[in-house]
Amino acid sequence: MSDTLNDSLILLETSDLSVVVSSPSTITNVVHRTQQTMGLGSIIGFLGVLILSHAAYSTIQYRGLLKITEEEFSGPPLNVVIEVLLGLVFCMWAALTVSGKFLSIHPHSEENRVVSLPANLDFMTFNHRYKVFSLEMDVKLKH
Amino acid sequence: MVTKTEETQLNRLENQVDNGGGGAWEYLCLVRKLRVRRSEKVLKHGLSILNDPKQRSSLGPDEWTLYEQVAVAAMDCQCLDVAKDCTKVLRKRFPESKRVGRLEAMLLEAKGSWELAEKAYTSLLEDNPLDQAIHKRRVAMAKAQGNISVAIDWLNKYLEIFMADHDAWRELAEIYVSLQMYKQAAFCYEELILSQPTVPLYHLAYADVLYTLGGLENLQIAKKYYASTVDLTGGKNTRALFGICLCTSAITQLTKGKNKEDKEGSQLQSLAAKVLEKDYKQKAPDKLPQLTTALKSLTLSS
Repeated sequence: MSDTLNDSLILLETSDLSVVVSSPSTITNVVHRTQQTMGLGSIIGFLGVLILSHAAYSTIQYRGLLKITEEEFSGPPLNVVIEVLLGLVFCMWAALTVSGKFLSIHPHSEENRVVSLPANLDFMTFNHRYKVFSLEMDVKLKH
Repeated sequence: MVTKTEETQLNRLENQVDNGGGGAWEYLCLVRKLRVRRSEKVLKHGLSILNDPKQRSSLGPDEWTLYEQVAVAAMDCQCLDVAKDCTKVLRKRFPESKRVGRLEAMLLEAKGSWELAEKAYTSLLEDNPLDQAIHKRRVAMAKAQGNISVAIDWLNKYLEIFMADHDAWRELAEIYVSLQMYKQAAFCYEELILSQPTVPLYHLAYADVLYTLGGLENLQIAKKYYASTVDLTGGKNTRALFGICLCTSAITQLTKGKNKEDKEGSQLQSLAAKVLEKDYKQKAPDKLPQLTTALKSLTLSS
C-alpha cells in the first residue's frame, strides 16, 4: 500500500518551486508557508507510516498467538484493521499536502492556455521605425 | 510560449514599473523568460539599474546577463552608444567569449555595416560551425538586407541540420507567408504542429493558410483546424470562431448545387456564432450590431 502512495507522491508536481519571479517578500512568504505545511504534512505522514508498521507488527504477533493456541484463522483482529485504515488516511493526506499545490492539466485553463508566441528574438532585425525616429530619451551608461 | 496567467502578470508588472512602483528587476527577468520584445522599456529600466552601483552589485553574477539584455535592447532602439558601452564592459569582463563576439557583430549589424558583420559571423562560425545562434543571425541579416531568397536558402540549409528547431520553422513559415507561397508555408506549419501539438496558435496559423489557399478540400481541413483551436483554447480565441463561420459559408457556397450532408457543419457555425455574440455582448457591446450584420451576411450568402 505504501508503494502506491509513494507513486502518487511522485506524480504530484511542486508548483511553488516554479515561482521564479516575485518580489523577495513573496518568495520568503511562499517558502515559509510551504515549510509550515511540509512540516505538518511530514509529521502526519511519519505518524501514518508508524501506525502501519505497528499494524504489521501486531499481525505477526497475532499469528504467533494463533500458532500457540492452535486456533483457525478467521480474520484479522479489529485493532489491526483500524490501524491500517488510519494509516491509509494519514499517509494519503501527507502525500497530497507535502508535495505542493495541484496544477491544471487542461489545455484551456488560464495557466496553460497559450495566448501569444514569444517574439522570434533570434531572428530579430533592426530595420524599423527607430532607425528614422530615434528615441527621445537621453540615456547613457555611466561608469 | 506565453500563457494567459503569464501575460496578466507581465502586464501587471509593467504597469507597476512604469508608475514607479519598483520591481524593475523582476520585470526584466520576466521579459527575458517570456522572450517578449519590449526593447524601449528594457533599455529604460535596465539602464536605471545599471547606473545605480548599489543595485547593480546586489545582482551578483546576473549583472552580466542584464548587460547583454540591455545591449540588445539598445541596438533595437538604435541607441548605439549605450550598446557599444555595454558590449565594451562585457568584453572587458569576458575577453575570450564567443557570445560577446556575437554581440559585437550584432552591433555592426545595427550600424548597417553588413560586410563587417558578415565577416565577423564567418570568423565566429569557423571556430564553431554548429553555433545555432550565429546561423540564425546570418539568416536575419540576409532578411534585413532584403535578400529574402538568400534568407530562405540559408534557413532551409539550417533546418536540414537542426530539424527540431521550431523557432526556425516558424520564421520560415512567416517568410513564406509574406511572399504568398502558401503551400510551402503550410508545410512548415504542419511541421510545427507535429513538434508542438498543444499550441493552439500553430493550428490557427495553419488553418489561416489553408483557408487562404482555398478549394473545397483545403477549406474543409481549415475548418477542422479552426475547430481544434477552439478545442484547445476552450472557445476563447475569437479568430478561430470567425474562421469557422467563414469556412462554413465558403464551403456551402462551393457545394451549393450538390447539397448533401453538412448538417453538422451548420450546427458548428451556429454554435460558433452564438459564442461570438456572447463574447461581444460581454466585452464590446457597442460593436454588437456590426457583428450581427456580418454574421447575417455570412448565413444569407450560403
